[in-house]
Amino acid sequence: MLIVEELIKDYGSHRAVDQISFKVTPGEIVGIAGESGSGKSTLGRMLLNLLPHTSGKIFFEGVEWTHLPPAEKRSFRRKMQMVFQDPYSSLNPRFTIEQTLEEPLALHDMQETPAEWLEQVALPTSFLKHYPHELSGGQRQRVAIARALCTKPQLLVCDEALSALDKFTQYHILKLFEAIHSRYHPAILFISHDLGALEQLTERLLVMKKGQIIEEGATARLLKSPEHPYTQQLVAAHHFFAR
Amino acid sequence: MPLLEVKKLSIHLNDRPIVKQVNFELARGECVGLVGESGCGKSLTAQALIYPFGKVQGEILLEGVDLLKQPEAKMQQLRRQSLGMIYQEPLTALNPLLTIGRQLIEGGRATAEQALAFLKKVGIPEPERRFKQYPHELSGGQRQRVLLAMALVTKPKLLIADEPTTALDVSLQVEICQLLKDFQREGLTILFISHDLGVVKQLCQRVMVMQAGQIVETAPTEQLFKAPSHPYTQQLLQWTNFTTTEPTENTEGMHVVRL
Amino acid sequence: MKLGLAILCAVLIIAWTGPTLSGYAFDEIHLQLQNTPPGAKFWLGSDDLGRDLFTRICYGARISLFVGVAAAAIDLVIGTLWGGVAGYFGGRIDALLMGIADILFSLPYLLIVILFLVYLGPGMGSLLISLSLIGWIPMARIVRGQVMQLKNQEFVYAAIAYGATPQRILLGHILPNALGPILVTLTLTIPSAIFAEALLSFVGLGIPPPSASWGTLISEGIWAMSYYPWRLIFPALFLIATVFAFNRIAEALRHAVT
Repeated sequence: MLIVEELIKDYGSHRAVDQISFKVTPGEIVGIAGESGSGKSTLGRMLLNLLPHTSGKIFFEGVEWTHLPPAEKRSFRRKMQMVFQDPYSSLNPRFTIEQTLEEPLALHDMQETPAEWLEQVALPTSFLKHYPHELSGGQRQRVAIARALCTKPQLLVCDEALSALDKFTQYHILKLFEAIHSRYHPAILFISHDLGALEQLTERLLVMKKGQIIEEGATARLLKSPEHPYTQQLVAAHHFFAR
Repeated sequence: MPLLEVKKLSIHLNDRPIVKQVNFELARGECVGLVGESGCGKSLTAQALIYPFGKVQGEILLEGVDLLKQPEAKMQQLRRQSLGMIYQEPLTALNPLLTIGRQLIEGGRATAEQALAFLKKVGIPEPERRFKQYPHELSGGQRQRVLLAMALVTKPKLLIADEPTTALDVSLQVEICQLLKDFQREGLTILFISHDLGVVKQLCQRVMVMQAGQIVETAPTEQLFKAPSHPYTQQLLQWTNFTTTEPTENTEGMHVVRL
Repeated sequence: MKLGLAILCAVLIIAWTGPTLSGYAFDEIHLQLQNTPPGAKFWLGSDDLGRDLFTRICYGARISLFVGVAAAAIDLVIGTLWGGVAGYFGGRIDALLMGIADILFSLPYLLIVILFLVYLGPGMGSLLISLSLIGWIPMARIVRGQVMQLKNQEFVYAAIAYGATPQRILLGHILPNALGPILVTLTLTIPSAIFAEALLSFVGLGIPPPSASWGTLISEGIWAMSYYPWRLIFPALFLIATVFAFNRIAEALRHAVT
């Protein structure tokens, strides 16, 4: 469904993403692990064409959609959505929750209502008239997830969607992602530096360092017996705090 | 005598009680963790030890001296000599316009030599070069080390660490943890606030669990993790165990949602 | 804030009810009663054609305030769109638009205004045009700055992700969030426009007689200053008070917004 070929992103002389190639099949949950500066967030944004890539190709359902004119692009945009890291800046502070959800629904003529989506993310419908600053971080993240689901995307990219939350809220949001996957079966590309969350959620894992994929494979196998020394380092650090 | 005794500490913000009648003690040389969800009041409690925020009642006795009743001049002296604090976000805690060296020796807290020695101690490579650099030239992990140096260069008795590892990558978290353990071995008492039970388990000898402004359980680390007595603690432990063996088909992610 | 609003309200009330209360028309000439000092007949005195100063100040208020608000409104529209587009699209569009703005800003303002007015002839319309020639530039710069900051917020990326058009994002998402600084700048543009109009009228380029704005009145008052000081003092007082009021309101707004 998603094919990435030799993707490169340069900022001047600094290469943030260096010849990345990988595939994602429908319904798969793939993780991208790496520390800060590895380029994983940049990669995530390029996949949704929120950032232009310097070179390389991105195919969705066989079409290289990033070069299409805006009207056709929009029908592709519908199929992939992102949940961002910072619940405090990912919702427009001047929109009520209802307005935030209404826009994507109206734009793509969807049948569902904002209230229905709030229910799907376990938030009471009384929240519709509230503003983001009245909600907690975890609640805002749920709204962000609801917004991402509005267009019923086939690909959900989660860019460190848990990192700004406290560990206990992270657990609940992770469970929410699992529930959403079992209900709607989108492919999920889960970008995170938290190996624990990746272990829980993902089937396959790509490890990034300095813009390159240095190892990939089935999550369980990778975390049990990593081959690349960098992966081993990450896993060791993770186990230092493991329970 | 314990180094720190907190008695009936209550803090109100905008007339709402956030911290409610909190009592705890810290013995010399201990590293104690204070854990809880966001909004439970743990940061406010920690902040009260250095610079109270909001309407504060109760007693905070540092070696018998009530910090809440001291005049500001005395508090400044105490802050300089006996207390240190590090926060979560190293970027905003450092003045971007001053070099690292300037910030370390600011206010006569330390001489340049002492500052250099400390930079070395916290594991910053090429301390002489870093001394003259500005915060934005350092990486996040190095900045956090600098903050640690700033807090500890005056050799305080108590270090209050408010989520210092939360914004860091895991390998950096390991390093900061080890640094803190080294300092603790030299006699530093640490109050470690965090929502990350994994870090707390590694670092602290004793853990206090806070819920909605009150401490609901205090226990030695191993005991808390193996056999928690309070139901809230049990629930917290369940919530951080990502690698659960429970099947997830019907999990609705339903959690009591409070506004 | 309250002081500012109070003064402004007072001026507005006086401006609107004053002439009715005084009973004079602004161009009513009483040649036998030239230059009368303030008293029972003429509350604030009369000018050299025997016209009631108080009434003329009231009408002057209407003109000055209208010009001030209208010019500010034009500046708002042009400046917001210009700065918004420059800030949102960045790159060459930004360089082009702000380059034009910078060049316009560096031209000698008064000279250009004089040329315009000579060409267009005096009157309200030409006055508004000349005031708006460069008045929009500070607004454009502020809006551009705000937009550049806001366009990297994640909710903007989210809107791009679900396919919102750039127009929708700029007008519906970004600009509403920039309202704070825009409002503050607006409340500062008004007094500066009033002042600019007073300046132009003072040098004779503003509203033609017998209409008078405060600037014209002040200009007339300067000539008579030694013998009939009230003709300068009262219009100047009103002008100062109004500009002061707007500045106070702008300060208060800035505190409230930041």
